[in-house]
Amino acid sequence: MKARLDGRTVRSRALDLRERGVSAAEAVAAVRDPHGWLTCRPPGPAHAHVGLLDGSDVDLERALASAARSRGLVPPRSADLEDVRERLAEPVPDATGLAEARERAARAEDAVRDLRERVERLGGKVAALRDVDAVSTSVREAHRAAAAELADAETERVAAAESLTRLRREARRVRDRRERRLALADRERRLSREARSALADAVRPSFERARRAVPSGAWRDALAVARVARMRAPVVLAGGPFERPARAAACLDAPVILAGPRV
Amino acid sequence: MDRPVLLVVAYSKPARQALRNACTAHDDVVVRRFGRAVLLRETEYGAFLACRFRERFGTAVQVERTAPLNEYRDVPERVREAAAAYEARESPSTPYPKFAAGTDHPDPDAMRDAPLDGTE
Repeated sequence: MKARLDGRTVRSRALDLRERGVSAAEAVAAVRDPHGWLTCRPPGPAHAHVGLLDGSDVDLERALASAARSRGLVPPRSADLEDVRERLAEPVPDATGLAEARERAARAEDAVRDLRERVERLGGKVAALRDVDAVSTSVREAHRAAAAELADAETERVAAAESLTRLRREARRVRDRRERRLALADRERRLSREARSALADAVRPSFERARRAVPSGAWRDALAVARVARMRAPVVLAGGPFERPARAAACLDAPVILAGPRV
Repeated sequence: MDRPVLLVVAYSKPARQALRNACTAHDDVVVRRFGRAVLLRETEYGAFLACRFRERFGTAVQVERTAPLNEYRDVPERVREAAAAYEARESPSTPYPKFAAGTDHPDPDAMRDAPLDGTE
């Protein structure tokens, strides 16, 4: 790796930046930034798990699986998993306009009910007035207008109901597809769990050997995973059992940066 | 369950999670919980929850009003009787179409296309 610090460029496989006030977080950010002050190989799959060692616990199975990936191992049924993930990446089906259609149908039903009452009322009035031979044009006209409005409202109600039925059918198809998608997501989870455990198992013997080759103590598992993984980008250590960066690089078989406490 | 209920079904992971949370928070409204579905009491509060789900998740939730089935009121007698007779059949391996053939029991395809009154 190549580091540009204070106007000077340093090339090394093992850097000690503790005295320069570079925190572990800054160092990790620089490793992951292709345009920063540090030039190095891009981080591989294991870097997310053991790219920063600060004494905290690692999720051993995930970390081991990532180490196996960094060594080019491919889990069984990875093509299936890829296929499932591709299908899950497709856009989620949706249907729109259902709420509007429900509202329109409800309004149309209300309108028909109101108008029907009005037509009946006016019809009754016309009949009553006719009995006493006193039908006025205005009442008759109001009755006729209400009847025409009712006819329009009934047409609208039929149209609204049809549109709602059509959208409900569409929503049902959308939900069928969403249901298949949920099943697919379950399958994705199952397959990736299987892949992870197969990958971790594949490197577990190497991990056990590596544990005997790294310093004992709380950092042991994380160091052993880093040693098993093929780390092309530098591993950042915030503290830990190594005093000299070259020792750390040799032990982890990886480029190494010793940095200040994690900020 | 002798009263109508609201059926809420989730069709996405966030909707499923929200449904689960709501069930825990409002278990007095919940009549029954299933994996991705829940039956809510048909009260204004049950409707309030259902409407909130619709607002938040759109097509990813389905809300239906459901009512108990009274077969003596809602189901034609011949259908009811066919069901009873078939369940009392002597040979358990006889499929219904074969059982119904040559009897007065309704044809399964005819039943498939015949809506119950008041339903779609």
